[in-house]
Amino acid sequence: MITQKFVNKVTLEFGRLIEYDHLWEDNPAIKEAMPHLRISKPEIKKKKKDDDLSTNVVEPDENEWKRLIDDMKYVRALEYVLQNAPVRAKDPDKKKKAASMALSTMMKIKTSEISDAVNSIPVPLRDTLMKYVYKGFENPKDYSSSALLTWHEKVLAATGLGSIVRVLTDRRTV
Amino acid sequence: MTEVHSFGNLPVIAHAWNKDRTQIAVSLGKNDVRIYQKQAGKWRLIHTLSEHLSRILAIDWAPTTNRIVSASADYNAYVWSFENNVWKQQMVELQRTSRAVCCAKWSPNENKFAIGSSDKNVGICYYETEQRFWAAEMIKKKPKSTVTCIAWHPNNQLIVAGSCDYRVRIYSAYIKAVDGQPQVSSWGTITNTGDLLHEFQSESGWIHDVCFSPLGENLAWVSHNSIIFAVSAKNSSRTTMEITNYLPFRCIIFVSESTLIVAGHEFSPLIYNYDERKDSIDFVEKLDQQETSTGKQAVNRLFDQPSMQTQTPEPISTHQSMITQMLPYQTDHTNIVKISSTDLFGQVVIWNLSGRKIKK
Repeated sequence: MITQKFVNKVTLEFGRLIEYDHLWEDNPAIKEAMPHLRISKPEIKKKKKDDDLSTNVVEPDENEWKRLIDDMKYVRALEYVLQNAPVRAKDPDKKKKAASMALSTMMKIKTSEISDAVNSIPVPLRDTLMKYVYKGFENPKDYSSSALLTWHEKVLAATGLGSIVRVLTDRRTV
Repeated sequence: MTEVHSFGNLPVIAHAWNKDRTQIAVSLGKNDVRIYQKQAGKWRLIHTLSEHLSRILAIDWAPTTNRIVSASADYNAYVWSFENNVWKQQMVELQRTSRAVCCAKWSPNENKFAIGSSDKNVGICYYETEQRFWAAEMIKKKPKSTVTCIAWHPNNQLIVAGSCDYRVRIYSAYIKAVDGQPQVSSWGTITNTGDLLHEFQSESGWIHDVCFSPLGENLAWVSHNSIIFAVSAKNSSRTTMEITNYLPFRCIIFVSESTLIVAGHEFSPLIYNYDERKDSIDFVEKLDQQETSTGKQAVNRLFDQPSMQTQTPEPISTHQSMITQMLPYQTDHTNIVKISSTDLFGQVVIWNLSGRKIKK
């Protein structure tokens, strides 16, 4: 039981009201000692509206997409989904629907035509394309990993390591 | 041409030069500032400034007043002055800063310095002559996350702070007690301390470094999503982005009014040109070009054995790890002619920019 010794040491070190730190909840020793220490009440922060998300929420229209697929305009269909990808939405269902549209389109494009497809996608949309490639990797049962790896290779050749960094850091996820 | 200096195997987290570049103050990730002097072609440790209780995250050396400010993870910053052959520390009162101080920079006139901390504080510190300590004016409109980098405008009254909340903010750093009249600047009118003049976004990436151009008309920053941003005071509502294919950059520096150099996880510094009228940031060249050609030859010979031939020989760059900081080393009027860069393998490299395609 380290509680009493810990309490004594902390009181000696600080001797005053300790500012509450929410990260202490993760440390079992500190959490145990907390009722014995003089700690300020945690601020209950009101959830502020996130400025970066939930503005300009777009999503691809399923009918429009289906029309392009039926016309066999696969690259155009993919570009349409990427253009209207719900990156700013908070609703996971919206994202799931768009992801299935994007990935099923990508699977329809022949391996030999992937390189040309990537080059015809406008540069600002290529980051979103890379995000969908990684989304596809998350579901190896639904989407062929070997096809995705080819997509990954071709997109990487066009956009470089920067696009992977943006997949990992961008809060506007797919 | 390019000088390479080694300070052992420890990472050089921060560095600062004295006025005539004969001495360098470095932080090797430890709790002390180490000052080395160039003696007979070698760097010798002449002073160790140990007062901090945790690793030192930033150092800045004011050339004219010969003072050093050091910021550390122990929630403190100290100002050091050189008296009787010894560096003595002066108290800095950072109100209510309860997290690491990440960055510290002297103002151009060296009468103030700005600090940024992990607990969202930005402070402008000036010397209280009556009570003989450095007092801090903390900015009220705080960023929402860690303040990673700070830079001063040449007019000594504006600072820009980059933060992990994906924003870059220009604040007024006017202190009535120290500055005379508030100056007029193309970024807006300066009235009170801590006024927020501008706020720019970085498209969802932590800001790693921010920098004003030598005359203060342009501002640029780099963030963790491998994008370089720039904006001009002439048209502050339009931010120019350069979405790069490289790994993220950690530091940025303007060498002239329109040319900037970035460096970071891509082991060579890169030169870019910001054209405000065309709204573009164009890649010029890698600083490390000349080194790679000689490196390639040596590596090719090494890999002549049949078993090794399947490996593609990589050109050996001068920096072999992430570049942590870049500073001006030598200036010519307002343009920078030489820069120094440090990396995680203890190297300090001085690059000569003469002969490069640098636009005014």
